[in-house]
Amino acid sequence: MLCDHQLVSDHLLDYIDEKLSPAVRKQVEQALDNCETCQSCYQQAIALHQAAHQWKQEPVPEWHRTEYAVRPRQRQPGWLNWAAMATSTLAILMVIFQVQFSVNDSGFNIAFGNQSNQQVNTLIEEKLNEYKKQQALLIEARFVAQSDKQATANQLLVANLLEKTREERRDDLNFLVTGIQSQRFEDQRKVEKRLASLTDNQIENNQYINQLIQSANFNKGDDQ
Amino acid sequence: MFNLRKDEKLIEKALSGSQSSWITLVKRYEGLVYNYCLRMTFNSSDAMDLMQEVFLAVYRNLPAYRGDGKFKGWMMRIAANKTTDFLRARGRNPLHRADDVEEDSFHSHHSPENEYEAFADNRRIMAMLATLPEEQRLVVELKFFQHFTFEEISHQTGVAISTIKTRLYSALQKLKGQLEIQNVV
Repeated sequence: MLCDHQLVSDHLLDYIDEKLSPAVRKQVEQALDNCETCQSCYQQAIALHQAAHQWKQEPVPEWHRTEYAVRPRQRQPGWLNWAAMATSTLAILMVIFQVQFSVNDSGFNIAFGNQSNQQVNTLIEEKLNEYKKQQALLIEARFVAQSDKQATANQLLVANLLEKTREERRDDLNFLVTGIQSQRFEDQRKVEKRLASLTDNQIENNQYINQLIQSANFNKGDDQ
Repeated sequence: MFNLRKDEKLIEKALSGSQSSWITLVKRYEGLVYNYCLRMTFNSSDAMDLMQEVFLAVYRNLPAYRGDGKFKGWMMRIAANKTTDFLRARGRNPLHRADDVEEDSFHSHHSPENEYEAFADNRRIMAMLATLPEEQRLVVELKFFQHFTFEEISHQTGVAISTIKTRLYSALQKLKGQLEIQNVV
């Protein structure tokens, strides 16, 4: 009988683990007895089972277990917070009590309140005056520069204006002359037309008069 | 059951940023994963690389672990996926010789002679496994070394149970010569 190995393929492991029902177990045993390939596979499975037991767990070489994994919690040391708080408080208090540090020839001086306000005021005044002078100079320079600029701009403007006016006048005259000329041509044409019609009339009148003369002569002949 | 609950607690703490919980969890499973990687890659430096990739992937996917199964099974599913990717990438590398089982790296780098002797069986087993194609080797590994059921293996690899059984049978056929030689030795 030819074996398609299906039965053993399906149940081999359960057979080894003794998990099969007696009926199926008997069928598998028969297949193993009759098929050399299945028998061989059974042997290999047993050997593999043993090999797995023979495997000795090899120790893991040392490695960085958190290098790419867990990010440490962002926790600042407690004293840093307290130090920050204390510094802020001290700074605020120093502002409130107007603490002043000064260094002079006799040494280091810490002052509370506004004892040296006058000093500060004179210093400020000096600085202010200096600043005022500086500003006045600056403004004057700025004015001169500005007036120069303005003069140049005015000259340019006048030149431009003159140029423009001259051009405009020339244009106007041209326009006028052209208009008069065209008017003259027109009038001449009209006069010529009228002259022509007058001439025509005259010729007609002459003809008429001639006819009249002829007819008068004719009547005169008849009368004689 | 106790371990399972403990795993979940460690995972929870690791997710909230506890390094020590993560290290405890990794130390609990790194031996298992490293030896698995060794049997799949046959050399210790590749096994280390793969193991680190597996734990990195485990950590990244940790928020998705819902605790509805054993952590080991879930982790080995990731390991199986990573192994497939790793071996495929290694197969593409022209400098790698696929059937090269590292002979004595442990001996030359880390241990004295007697320690090497202790792992001689492991080299023999790796040499035997190296004769199998990758997909058959994975089934042998998960069945004989990790002792997963066919259902679990199917879930982990995404392959039908019948296909897994066929692969296992083919692997056993292929191992015929190998194990006989080993028995003689």
